[in-house]
Amino acid sequence: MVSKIKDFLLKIGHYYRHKSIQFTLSISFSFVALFGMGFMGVTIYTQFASSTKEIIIENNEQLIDQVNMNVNEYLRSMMRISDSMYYSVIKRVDLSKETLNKEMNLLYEANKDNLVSIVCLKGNGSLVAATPIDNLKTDLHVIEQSWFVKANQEIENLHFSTPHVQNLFNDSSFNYHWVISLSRVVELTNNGNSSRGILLVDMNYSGIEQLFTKVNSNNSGYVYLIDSNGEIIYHPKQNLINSSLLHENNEVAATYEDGTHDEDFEGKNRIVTVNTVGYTGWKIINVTSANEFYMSYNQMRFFTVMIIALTIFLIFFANQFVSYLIGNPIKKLDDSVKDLEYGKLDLNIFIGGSYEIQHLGRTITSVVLQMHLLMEEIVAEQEKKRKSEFDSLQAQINPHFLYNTLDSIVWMVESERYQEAISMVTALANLFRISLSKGKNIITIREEIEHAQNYLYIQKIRYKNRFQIKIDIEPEIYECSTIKLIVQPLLENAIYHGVESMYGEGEITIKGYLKNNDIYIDVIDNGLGMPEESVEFLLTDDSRVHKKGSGIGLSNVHQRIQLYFGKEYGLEIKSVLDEGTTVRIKLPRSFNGVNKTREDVTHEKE
Amino acid sequence: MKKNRKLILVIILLLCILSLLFISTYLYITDSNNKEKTTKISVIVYGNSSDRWTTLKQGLDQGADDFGVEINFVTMTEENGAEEQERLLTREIANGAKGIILAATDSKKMAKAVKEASSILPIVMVETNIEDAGGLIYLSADNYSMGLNIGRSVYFNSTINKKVAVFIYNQQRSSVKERYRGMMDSLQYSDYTMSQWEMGEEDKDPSLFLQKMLMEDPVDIIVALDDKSLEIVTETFENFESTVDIYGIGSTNKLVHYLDYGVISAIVFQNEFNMGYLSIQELINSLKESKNKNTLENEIEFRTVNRDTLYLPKNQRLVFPIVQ
Repeated sequence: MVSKIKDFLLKIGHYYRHKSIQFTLSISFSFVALFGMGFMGVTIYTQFASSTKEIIIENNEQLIDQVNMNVNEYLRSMMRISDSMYYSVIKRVDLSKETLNKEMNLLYEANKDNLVSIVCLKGNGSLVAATPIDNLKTDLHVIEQSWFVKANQEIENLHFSTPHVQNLFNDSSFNYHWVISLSRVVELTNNGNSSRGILLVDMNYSGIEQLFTKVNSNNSGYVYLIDSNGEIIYHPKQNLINSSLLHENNEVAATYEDGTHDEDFEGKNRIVTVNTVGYTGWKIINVTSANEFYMSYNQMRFFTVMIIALTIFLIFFANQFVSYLIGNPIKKLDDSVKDLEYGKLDLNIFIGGSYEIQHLGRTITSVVLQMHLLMEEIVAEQEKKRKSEFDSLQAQINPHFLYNTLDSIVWMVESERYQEAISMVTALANLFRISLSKGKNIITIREEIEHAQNYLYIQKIRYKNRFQIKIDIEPEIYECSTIKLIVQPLLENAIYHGVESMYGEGEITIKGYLKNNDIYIDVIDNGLGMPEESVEFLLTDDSRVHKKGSGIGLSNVHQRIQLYFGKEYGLEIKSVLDEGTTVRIKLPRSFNGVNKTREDVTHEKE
Repeated sequence: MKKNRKLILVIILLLCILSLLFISTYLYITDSNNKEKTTKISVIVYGNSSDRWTTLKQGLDQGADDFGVEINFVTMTEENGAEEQERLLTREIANGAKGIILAATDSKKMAKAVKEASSILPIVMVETNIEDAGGLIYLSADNYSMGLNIGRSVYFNSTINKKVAVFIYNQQRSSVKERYRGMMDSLQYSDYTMSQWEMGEEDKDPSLFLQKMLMEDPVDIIVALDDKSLEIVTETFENFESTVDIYGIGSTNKLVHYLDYGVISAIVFQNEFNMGYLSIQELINSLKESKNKNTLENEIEFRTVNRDTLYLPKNQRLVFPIVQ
């Protein structure tokens, strides 16, 4: 499992490393934002949920405190009526001399709204006084009614009954009153003798009802009232409960302490707040269904989710923007460096974005500039080096030939062939004229061939026409350019190594022609030829010591051509033993020294 | 720069869509909170006295409150008139009632009209059903059992060899007919002499008719099987110097009062509060399901009370409903 997670993380890391900065930034930022906002949302939501519950509970507690005060006040006013009836009237009055009616009526009139009747009975249930109606029903068993029984059970207390229908008086109208009875035992005085009586104050049930109706009309839950045994005194849906269409958890609620309780009733979760009314032991119970919370929870959840979604959305776009701002300059810089990598020369490094990237761009620019400078320097140096090499190679020609020719002239003069010697010296002079070429290295092929002819003339005299010369040059290449003194060394080579030591008639052919836009000049002899292994050395080895001459010939020409025109040009040697040798010069076709090669351009600069 | 502008445009567009979504959902929520309270239901009962229906109406009001419907309570101008009730039915449907709760004044004559109407909208029958009411929801106590119980009450509260008269009244209602059947069945093996007092064409005033009948046929016990007839009987004999015992079915304020003062010996009554409340509940259910598939007859509780048991806590709560 752990290794799997590790693998997964590694994969993600790997994936990440191969993405652009912009992508990495925006994804990372967005993830962080997502997590942050999610965490914040959950926190806010739970905070809200708990605080909502607390607020509702607090409200409920305040509410039923208020109700408790009202109920208490209501009950106290009833007790005051009872007290004043007892202590100010009944205790003072001797029933044999006067009645209670006047004071009782006054008291009733003063509290008419909340009272149904005030009744004073003797211990046997017979009437002493009553208001507003005073004709008791016949065959009525007052002493069996619960308020009467209870008052007699605990004579020192006041007793509040549960709501019931008053069943005392004849009432020709069809009205029946729901009342709550407040009963107590009183001491009646009759002719100086005291006897036990019962004082009953019947409160109108609607008084209590009104108190609660008001509360229930603007409350999210509902409030009901039970007595200490759990019997319902008021419930907003009392009729439904009476008809057993609805059930209330009143009997359990009677066992609750004051305060807030969570309960499960008929599969519904609800919060119950209980408050006990003083003296009576009645309990006011506020019930709030947990659904009430869920309703507000749902709305809050909706809002939280919406706000978080909105914020994430905004952050996401901001991230995109920021990562674009950061990532894009880097990408551009990278692109221009890539161009550099691919060898693009017209350098234009991107400079922009934040300070660091600008700095980076500028540094790269200066580095590249410096590199270019260095490269140019190197090229120039190389060129210089090449030039000096070339010049030294060129310079090798003259002494070598001069040595040979002067050797011939010496030889002629020694054998007293003065006329020939004169022609020879003249030809030599011509040779040098061309050879100097006003200091130019580049001459036309015509001049080069002329030069070769002068040389051949000299050599022919030297060798007493031991060989034949054939020159076959295509006219169109006459005006093409070549570096000077390339044919003559080949002729020298053909004469010394080819035809000189031959027994028969030697023949040297010079052929010039154009092929594939390149110029070829072949120097062919029918001399001894040479083995293949020595052909290999001819062009490469400078240090080989020759038996004759200066030993500098073909490789010199070859190197000069290559230095000047490039590696694809130069000499090619074919030799067959006892049949002859062909040396082929390959040159680019160019006029006045102008051809497409780099060497030429740099050469002209000098 | 161009790219940035495009980006900003996209952001603004998406923000607009999001806020639109947000606002519409918010409005939807607040709207759904204040919805309801639009369903109109008409309650058509027989008789011209709304006093008789006080308890039913309380149940209806409680139901309307709990289920969030609006109620139009309609009584007739006379005690009995199938034509008028039919007219009322048509009128209430035309006035846009979504459902009807009906106590039929005449089970036979109303049958056709009610059946027709029930194909248009859901109808819940209460107290008195129509004949052949296949498929209609009917809420009532078991009328036959109520009849049995009043018979038993008569039997247990009186000595042997009594003469019992049954006031035949409103028998066009199936409920009353059923009660009659139950009562007659319960007393059929007793030694009581039974007589049926039925008003003829010539009898205009029921009170006079009753007095005349008592003169002609002095009975010990008179039984009336609905509120109206029981009230007529008690009002007729309240101050009458006779020892006739009265039994009956019904629970109007007057009847309870007469029971309390010993004019009536015992009554059987059904829990009309439940009847009203449940009728709304059933109607809402069938409106939601949009078809009358619930043919179950819901039994409403009934009780027998006499003067001694009237004030028992469990009885007084039903007999004297707390007006809220």
